[in-house]
Amino acid sequence: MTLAWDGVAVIYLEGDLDMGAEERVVAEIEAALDGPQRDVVVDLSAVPFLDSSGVRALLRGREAAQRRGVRLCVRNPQRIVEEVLRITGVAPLFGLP
Amino acid sequence: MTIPPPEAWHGVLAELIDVGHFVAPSELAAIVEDASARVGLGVTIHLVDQEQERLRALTPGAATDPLPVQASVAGRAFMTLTPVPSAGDPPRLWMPIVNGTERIGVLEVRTPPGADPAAAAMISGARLLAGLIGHMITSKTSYGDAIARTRRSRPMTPAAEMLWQLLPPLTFATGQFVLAAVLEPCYEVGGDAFDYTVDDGLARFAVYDGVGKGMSAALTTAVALGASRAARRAGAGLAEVAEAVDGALKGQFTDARFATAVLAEFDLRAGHLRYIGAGHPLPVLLRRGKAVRALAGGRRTPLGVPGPTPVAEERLEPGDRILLYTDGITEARDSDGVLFGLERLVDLVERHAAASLPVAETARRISHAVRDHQGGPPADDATLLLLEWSAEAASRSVP
Repeated sequence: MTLAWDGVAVIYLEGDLDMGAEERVVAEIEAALDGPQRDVVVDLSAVPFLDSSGVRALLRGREAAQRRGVRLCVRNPQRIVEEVLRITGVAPLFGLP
Repeated sequence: MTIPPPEAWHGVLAELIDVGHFVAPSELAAIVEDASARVGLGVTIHLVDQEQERLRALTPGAATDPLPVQASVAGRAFMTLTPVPSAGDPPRLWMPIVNGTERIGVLEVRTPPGADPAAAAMISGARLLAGLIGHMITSKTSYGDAIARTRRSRPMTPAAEMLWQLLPPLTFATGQFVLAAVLEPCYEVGGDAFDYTVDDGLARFAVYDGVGKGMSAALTTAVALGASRAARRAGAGLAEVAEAVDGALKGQFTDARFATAVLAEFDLRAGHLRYIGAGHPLPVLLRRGKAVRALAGGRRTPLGVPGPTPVAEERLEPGDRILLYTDGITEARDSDGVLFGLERLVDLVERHAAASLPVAETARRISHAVRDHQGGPPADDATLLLLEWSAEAASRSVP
């Protein structure tokens, strides 16, 4: 589900972010990029699991956003998901500490 | 007939070197058996299979069942890298076959009637013969499929076939250090890989984990390996190698492919370690039987996601071990969902090291422990690379 207002689109992802979800997530981010917003936020509060394919989906989304001059951030990762983003060293790319 | 005198063993070696020039892999067993028979010895070459579970006779159409490594005299010779005599009719000597320090299999030598398989002359002769056979098997392997086929219990996936062609042997040692790796599931691996080289007292080593599974992951990792080797051989330093891999992956793929990796180099004289952790589980430093710490420096984004590339440094002490692994090891789950975990991994390394096993055998046993931990087929590739800075450990790597 994507909510957009005031130049910001928030994508609420649900379920495991793994190889089976990669294409769906990329498509969802790309769809959100079609609007006029300058910022896209991916909300991970309903994502209990993320593996390297999930990281890749987010990186693909980030590259698609960069091509359109849009900033893509991630927010509200669950503890395990945040740990994966931290271990793989990509957390700062998505605006996470 | 008694044990052949040294000159008879040398005659066998000379004959093998001579006829070996014109021999296909499928004929190797026959020429070894023939030359040995001329001096009154019956021999059989047993090769360890890809999963390091069983020893399989190279003789075409051999009627013998494969010998389990874990539960046979031949297996004991393989695991401990020591010659093992066995009673029976006829008595036998089981001599490990290595190339350098890579464990290839075991030579079964049936002793002449009345001869002692544990006699010094028998052991020294068999060690020479097995030494030459180790070199011959390695040099002949790529000219046919017979040796590769003998080493398989089942077919490989195309991705695994491709990846194994790119990897160095599982073990290497010089007088000062030994390094051993293992990669599972060996018939289906996709994105995991390890690499190493040793030149002028500098050991460079790495593990990679390409994103995704199967052929897609294997292609990512293949590009990373190719780019890193090309850069290294052109004289690149650690950080430049990482950047070369970034460039190659970005240039080849447009779908955010990456490989997490640890790239490291170790000065074997000074004991100086330098390393980069590219989005990968942290290497572990083991000292005097304990995990001292995870090596958390040199952190950067995965290879293929360009970013600043700091290089961390660490001074090692003689006897130290460095453990590199991919998350397929620590995140292997049993049927109740319990992780294999880093603690169990470190504990096994220590336990096997305390038992003075060869480093390659430690790696083999850990990979099997990971496999046995999982109820069903593994969810991910699992790679382990263990380096030990110790002349004593190196000396345990040859029969």
